[in-house]
Amino acid sequence: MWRWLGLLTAGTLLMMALAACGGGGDGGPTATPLPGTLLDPPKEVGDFALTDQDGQPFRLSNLRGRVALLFFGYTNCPDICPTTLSEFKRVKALLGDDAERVAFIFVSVDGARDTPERLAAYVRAFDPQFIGLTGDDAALRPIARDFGVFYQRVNYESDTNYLVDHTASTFVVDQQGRLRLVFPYGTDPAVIVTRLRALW
Amino acid sequence: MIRMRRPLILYVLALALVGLALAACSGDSKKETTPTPTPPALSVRDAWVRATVGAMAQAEQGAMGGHDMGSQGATGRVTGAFMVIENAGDTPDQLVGAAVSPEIAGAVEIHETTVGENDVMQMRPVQAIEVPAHGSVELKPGGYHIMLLDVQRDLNAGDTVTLTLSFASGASLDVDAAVRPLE
Repeated sequence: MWRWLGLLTAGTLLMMALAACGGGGDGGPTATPLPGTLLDPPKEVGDFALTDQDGQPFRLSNLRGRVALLFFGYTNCPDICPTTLSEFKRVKALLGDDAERVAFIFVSVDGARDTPERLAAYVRAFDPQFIGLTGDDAALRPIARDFGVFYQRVNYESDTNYLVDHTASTFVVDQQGRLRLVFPYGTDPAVIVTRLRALW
Repeated sequence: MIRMRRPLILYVLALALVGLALAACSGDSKKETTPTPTPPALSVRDAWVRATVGAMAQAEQGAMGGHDMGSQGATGRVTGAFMVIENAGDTPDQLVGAAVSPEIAGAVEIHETTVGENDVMQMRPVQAIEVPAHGSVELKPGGYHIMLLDVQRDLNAGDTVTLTLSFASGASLDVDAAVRPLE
């Protein structure tokens, strides 16, 4: 009786130890579904009006018939934002001829510093066809609410020196102007392309 | 008493097995304790700085005979520096500061980016970055970076920026970081 208990304990402990050990290595290809949340039914988002990188008014409804890939960020962000725009660039390359079906949009959550001129330089450094949008807080708040985007100034030292916390997800609005997909930060561009192609 | 001995032996055996298993997986490094631990031995590889943007806007405005150039500069362009810091010594160290020539940037801070709950990105200044003994730490997008603030001139692909890193041990290291294009 004791012997069995002992052996059982020994076995269990050994397995636990080995399991703890394997943990860091291969996560294992456990057939996970593709990253990204599909909104079914799609979420209606209100049309919005902001200013584009050329200083022209821009409405989301201008895009009807095209899919929009949106990221909310700011040009003073040295890290996540350029990384995501680099990934947009890869998505565009992977789409090939289908890229014309998609508008690539960077929405500034820092309207105070991100002037159209600044946005123009920023988005065009990645791709001349990328769109940069900016607006004041009053214009941005309802959009952020619709998309479920959080943004907040932090580490405020002066009007020109502060950071902005913000949602780092990528949003997909379909041809009818409805929010269809949300990708977490760092989603593989190939996955984004696969899911975009399913929309047409 | 004699009846108790078996289970005890089994438990001892079990613990020994667990110990062995854990030892096997923690593997490598420190086998026998070396007599005197060597101090941190630091080196840096793959250092790079992201190219700045904004020059074009200024140029365009200039060409248009545009508005106040000063305000554009005052918006304080920023960029990040990234690298791998290695420590071949037996003693851990900490990166506690970084500096560049004032002709390059007005200020330098060490930051950590985290993507937390609900995919919200936060960037915060940190006091120090641990560089483990016989290990390395990578400063990379989505993690740690050295942030250059009030960048004074365009940093274009092909340029080199010299950063001076300072460590808790008192060590200091000059690093040439290559400027990489935005894409």
